[in-house]
Order: sequence, then structure tokens, then C-alpha cells
Amino acid sequence: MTDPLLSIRNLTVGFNRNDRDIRAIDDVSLDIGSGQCVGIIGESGSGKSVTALASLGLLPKQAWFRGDILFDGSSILGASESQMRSIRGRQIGFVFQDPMTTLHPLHRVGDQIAEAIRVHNRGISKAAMRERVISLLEDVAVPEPHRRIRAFPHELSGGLRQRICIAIAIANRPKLLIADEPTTALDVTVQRHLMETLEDLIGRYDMSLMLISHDIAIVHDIATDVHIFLKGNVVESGPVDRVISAPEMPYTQRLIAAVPSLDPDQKRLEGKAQSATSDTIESRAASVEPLKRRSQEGWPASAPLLSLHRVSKHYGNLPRGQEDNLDHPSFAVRDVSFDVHPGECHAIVGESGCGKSTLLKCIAGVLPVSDGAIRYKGDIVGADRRSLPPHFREQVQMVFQDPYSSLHPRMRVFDLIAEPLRNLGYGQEEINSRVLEAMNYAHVDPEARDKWPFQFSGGQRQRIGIARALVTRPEFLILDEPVSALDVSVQASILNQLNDIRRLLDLTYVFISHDLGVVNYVAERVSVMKDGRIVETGDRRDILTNPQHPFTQQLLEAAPGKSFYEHLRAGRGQGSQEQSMAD
Amino acid sequence: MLRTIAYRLTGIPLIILGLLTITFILTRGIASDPIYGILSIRELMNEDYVALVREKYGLDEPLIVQYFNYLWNTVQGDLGTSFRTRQPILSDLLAKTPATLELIIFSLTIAGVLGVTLGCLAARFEGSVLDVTIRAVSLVGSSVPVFWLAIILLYLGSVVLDWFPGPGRISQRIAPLEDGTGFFLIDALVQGRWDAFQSALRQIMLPSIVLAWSILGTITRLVRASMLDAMESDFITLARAKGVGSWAITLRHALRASLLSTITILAHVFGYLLTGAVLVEAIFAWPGLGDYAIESARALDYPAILGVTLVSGVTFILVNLIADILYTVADPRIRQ
Repeated sequence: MTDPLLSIRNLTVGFNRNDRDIRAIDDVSLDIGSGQCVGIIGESGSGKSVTALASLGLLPKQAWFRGDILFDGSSILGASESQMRSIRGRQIGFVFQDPMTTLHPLHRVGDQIAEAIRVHNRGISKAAMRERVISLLEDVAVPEPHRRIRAFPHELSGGLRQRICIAIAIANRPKLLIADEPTTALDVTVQRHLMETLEDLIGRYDMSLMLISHDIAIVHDIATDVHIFLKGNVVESGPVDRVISAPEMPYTQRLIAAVPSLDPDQKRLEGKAQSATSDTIESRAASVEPLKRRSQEGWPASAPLLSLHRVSKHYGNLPRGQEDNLDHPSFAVRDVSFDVHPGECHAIVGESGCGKSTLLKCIAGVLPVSDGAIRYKGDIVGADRRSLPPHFREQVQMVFQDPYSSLHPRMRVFDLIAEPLRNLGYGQEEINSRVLEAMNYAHVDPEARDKWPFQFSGGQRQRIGIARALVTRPEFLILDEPVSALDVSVQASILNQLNDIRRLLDLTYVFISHDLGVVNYVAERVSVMKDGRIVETGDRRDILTNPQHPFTQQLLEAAPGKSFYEHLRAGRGQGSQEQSMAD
Repeated sequence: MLRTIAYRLTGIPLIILGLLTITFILTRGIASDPIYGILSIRELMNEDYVALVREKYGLDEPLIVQYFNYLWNTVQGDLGTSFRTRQPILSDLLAKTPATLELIIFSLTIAGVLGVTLGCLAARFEGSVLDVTIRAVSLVGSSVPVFWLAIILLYLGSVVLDWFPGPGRISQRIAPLEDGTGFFLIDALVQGRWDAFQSALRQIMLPSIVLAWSILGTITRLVRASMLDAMESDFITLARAKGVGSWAITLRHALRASLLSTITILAHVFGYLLTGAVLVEAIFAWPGLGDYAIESARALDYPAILGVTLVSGVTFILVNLIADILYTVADPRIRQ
């Protein structure tokens, strides 16, 4: 075998922070050969992004390192800044995670692509430059390149912006492309097309690829070799099929078992090692005042707890005569009807901008509806902000998407969880016992009551968010993408916990998600939303195995990791039993 | 965008009305009877004369009537007559305002160019000796009182070293400029008066250095901070990954991204300059608004005080309007 294109040798990178030495990666070695696609999989904080930045010599100033990275035989970490500048962008292209922030907001995208070319080709003529930029835009399948060349980033969708970023990365036909979570911020259908473009370009221009992702399924679709990162170490390496179907290391096995699949007979997910099972939930529950079966008192199981009848919502004022025109772009929610029965988990699936968040705010009584009616136990919700059904604020609670921004950074955990009760006017003694109870259900360590949010990881923060929702002893939880900001193993344990809590406390959920795998794991009923309308509602199994609407089919088709799930099922020996729609 | 500007313009009369009302209440409701500013002690003894003068200036009316009279006259362009100079306020203001604006704009240019440069340098070499020095100097700069600095510079620059002329706006020894814009530097150039231009330039240096110094630290520190913010952005990492050199990154990417906050900073310190000019003009005998404001306040010349307030207010509003327009030029996201 010839020398690898990129060779990371015994690389250790550390940061000095407040006299404490934190190692981002420890003794990592890996090779990428010419034309090879190598995947790097790890959860947040596993050191995968540091590895990528080190490969470009872009480590932050405070970082120290040991070991070396060889690119084409010469040292990267030993190179001077000017040598590195001639490598960056010309020999190695880089695609970053978030296309919303990686493009300069004040320069036209054409100029940003042109800059990448000009840096390495001084004196190129204006006409030649324009031609090259346009051909690059064609390469990355940006429609109407002649027009887009003059666009500013904010005028483009996330998918188009990421295509621009790819055009910048491949502008000088680099030998190696490093893509750090290139599709994480995008909708699945967009993600699918983008990965296809990327795969096509790599083949066409004979590039090597380092694909960094937390998503095993995406890596599996494209990479030949894979390295699993855990806390700064490579714990397992090898050909992707072998690692996925027969993982040797316990961590890899757990990671794979934590991914929610589209298999309608999905088994219980493997959460993080220390995550509790349902018996511990029950034993914890037994230690506090029992409140089982308290909910939905006096409400028949056959009647819908929540019922939406032809709900529409628009923002701003509609032009005269357009009040009933649901196709007017001001409408975010269009003629939505569905029922949620007691004890059920009803999922709403859709891509960004489909109106699911607006719908959810209407259900929560935060936004008044424009038309139609939302009823909770038969009482109208959301006709206007003040008239909510009796005890609605107590009975309906919400869990938010981003556990980093949904907790006030200057409030202690106890106060965060207690706040809903304070707003409802409970006494201190009641508050104390209820907060303790909620912390128990949500698996928040009671010792944590006086800590601050920043002292917790994403998963722990989301548990605090769940405790805050449970503290009023609600009957109904509205969950807005509660796990989309979390790592896959944390996601699995939170999902398990949410399932356990629902069964134990007899709760009813409305669960918003963009991830069909997650929905498959938690929901009984599924509504698929597109452009403000519900295009299809049905039982989970029907939606997954027999989707009627083309958009649902498209969503299922676009879900990443088809080959991954096939492998997974083959590995578990149950592939023949079920015909999953992932096929 | 035009709609936004039109919308902002309609708000201006309201802001000015509020401004005049507050100033009217403050000067008339709290300060003593303006009659003491108009008449000498001997004249005050003669009650008939006092009554006559009161009637002449409309001071015999109830305060609320005086207020509406004042507003009505202002709308018609009549700001009243100064008790002190016995001139129409409007002509006083027209004579004084260009001097102050010239001083302020000159100072702002010096401080702006210097502050942005220093801020960029400090951010580019963050943590270096240069950065620490720049930060230390800006801190000291903002802490030094303007009047003290003005006196020291005047003493050093014109008495000890004799590099700069003493107080004043233009040398008495050269033939006066013909009437023009009132901005001496511009008038001298337009009229081809090189001697007058040189003199005016030498005269404006010291007071504008003092004024510039008073805001330089603020500009430097804020530009540095917003540059450092910008340097943390993902698009800077992308630029580095493209292979762009560090100076191009500083100027083309980081400074460009900091442009919005730089505009905000400059518009903001303009307000400081309007206030700071009062002291500096008094010390350098600069015949501008500040000087006029102080003399008017001493003489309880309330129509003049209201007139100065009006001009400062309008200037400040216009500067902010210009800043708003510049935002839309600088940022395509605001243009929509």
C-alpha cells in the first residue's frame, strides 16, 4: 500500500484552562488513503472536531499538542503559518457544521467562493473567475447559478448555504475534504440530497473524505472505514460493515443499540450506562407520595383529551378578501384537525418551517388561533390568551427543545423546577415536597438542588426541564423536539425515561420531532405535517409500513442509513421477520 | 428601506416636542424668574418698568400660556429674542452652530480613524504587549477629565512649546473670511484663502485633540471588543480554512462584520461630543454653541437655552437617522 494521504500519528491535544489541563484527544492515530472515505463517529466532547481542526493546523491558540499529522508526507503541525495557508483551501477543503453561521453574512456568496479561488490563484481575471464560480455552483447543484452568485447568505435556505460551503471547500480541487457534521443542521430530505452531491463530487474529483458525524447511519451510507471516538480516544476502528454488524467494543455496541430505527418492532433502546430502568423509576416513585392514576380523573378514556378542529393560524394582518385564503403565505398552520386520547403519545413530524412550532404554541395556549377550535377536555383553548380552561396551566406542561437556552442561567436548579408552582401560588412546604417528587421522577439528583444549570451536561439539563414540567403534576405534556439537541446515547436514555414516566403517571403526550426513528420509538399515533397542513394521520405502524401521502413516503425514503439498518437487522437476525419501510 | 426612513422622520417632531417640553419645564419651572436676567438691579427697582418689560417678553402671561406661545412661535420659525444679546435666537444659533459642528466633526474624524485603527490592532494582536498598551492608554484616556486635559494641552502646546496658537477660532491678524457656510476650513478652501485655512487648521487642532481624546478610549475599546467577537465567528474559521491571510481576515472579514457596531459607536459618541464641546469651547474661547450655552445659562437667558437644546436635539436625531441609513447600506439583511 502506498503512503496514506493523511496520517495522524499519536496525536494528543490538550487545553490549559484555569491551570487545569484538559485533554481533548489522547494518543489518536488514524490514516486516510487516497480516494478513501473515512468516517469518524463520536458524541459531543469526544474530540472529533479537534482532530479535524488539527488536520488543518487550526487549533486554538491555547491548545498544546504532541505527536504529528502528516499530509502527503509532510508535517502539518510543524509547518509554518505561510506553508499552512498554501495547504488550507488548496490541498484540504473543509465543510463546517452550521451553514447558518459559517458564511460571512455581509459578503455575496459569489464573492465568498471567489475569495477561496483567488487566495491560491493571484491575478485571475474577472471573467475567468466568474466562469469558475458558476461552474462550481453547477457542481454543487445550486439552481440558477447566474442569479445565486449575487445572493447574500440570508437569502438562501440552509441546504443551499451548505452547498455554497461545499463549493468553497472544493474550489481548488483539494485532495482531501474534511466534513464536520455537514448535514446535522439540515432537514432529512435536504440532508439526503446533500450527501448524494457530496458522494458524487468525491468520486468525480477523486478526493478523499474525512466525514465527522454523531450519526452512525449517515457515516455508514458513505464511508468505507470508520473510527469510533470516545472521550478523546479511538476505541474501535475498522471497515464500516464489520464495525457496525459485529462491534467488538462495548461502547460501540451500546452506541449502535442506542439509535432509534424505523423498525416498527423496535426494541427498548440502550441508554447511557448509568441510565435507570423502569424498576428504578418505580422504586424511586415508591419513595415519594404516590400519585399514580391521579390524572384524567372524571374523563372517559374513549373521549379525546385534546381535540383540534380545523385549526388555522396566521401571523400579521391578511389583506382584505384574503381572510379565508389558506394558501396565503401568512398562514403558518392550515386547517389542522386531530384528536389525542388519554394516555396516548401523538407525534407531529415535519421539517423545519412546516408550522409545527406554531401549532404547538396554539395548543399550549400561548398563541391564539386564527380559526377553528382547540379543545382540552371539551373546553376551548386559545381563543384568546386569557381564557384558558380551568387548571389548564397546571394540567398542561411543556418540555422545550434546547436544554441549553431553556433554563435561566442565573437560577438554581431548585428555583427553576419550583417556578411553575410559585406562579400558581403554592406554599413553600408544598413546593419543597413537590420539587423533590419531580426530581425523583425525572432522575435529577436531589443533591443538585442548589447547583446552577451550567454545571450540568445537556442530558442532565433536559432532565431538569422534564422535572420542571412534572412539578405541577400535569396530565398532559407538550414535548417540542425534546431530544434533538442531545447525543444519541443520552437521547436514548431520555426517550426511555419519557416512555417510563408516561406509563407510570398515565400522562398524555404531544411529541414534536423531525426524526422518524424517535417518533417510531415513542408514539402510538403520528401526524405528518407539511406547509402548515397535516398531510397524513395514522397509527405509527401504518405510517411507517404503509405511508399514503407522497411526502411521508419521501420522508421515509430520505431517512439516512438504509444500509445501516439492513446491517443492523441482519446482525440481530430478525431481518426476515419484518419488512421495514426503510427498504 | 425608504419607508423605514419616512417612518423615522415622522417621529422626529414628536421627539422634539418632548425635548422642548422637558427643557421648558426645567428652565422655567425650576430656575428663577428670567426678569432678573433681563434687567439690572437698578431697573428692577422701578416696578412700572418691570411690568412693561414683562409684558414685552410675554412674561406676564401664565406659564402654560407662555409654553404654548413658545411652541407656536417655534413652529413658525421664531425662537424669540435673546435677553442677553438682544438678537433673534435664530440668527445667534445660525452663527454659532457651524463652529461647533466643525469642531465636533473634526474631532470625530480624528477619534474615529484612530480608534478603529487602534481597536483593530489590539484585536489582531490580542494579548500582546501592543494590545495591553492600547488598552491601558484607552482606559487612562477615558478617565482623564476633559477640562484638565484641555488646560494642560493649552499650556504645553501653546505656552511652553509654542507649537499651536492660543484660544480662538482663527487668527485675528489675518483678514476675515467672507460669509459662507460658517465652516471656516471649508470657506477658506472655497474662497482660495490658504492663509485662513492654515490658521483655522492650527486653531482647531488643540481643541479637537482634547475632544477626540475624550472619546478615543471608548471607541478603541468597543471596536476591539466587537472585533474580538467577530473573530470568534464560524465565518472567520471558514476564512482561515480557505487559506486567507491574517490581515485579510482582520480587515475583509472581521472589520467588515464589526462595521455595524462601529457605526453605532460613532453615532453614540457624537452625543458625548455635543456635551463635551461645551467645556472645551469655554476653555479655548471657541465661539460655538457650547460657549453660547454657558453664557446664556449664566444670564438666565431662557429662550437661548431652549434654542441650544433644540439645535442639539435636532443634531442628535439627525445623526441617529444617518446611522440608521448607514446600517442599511452596510448590512444587506437590514435592507429587506
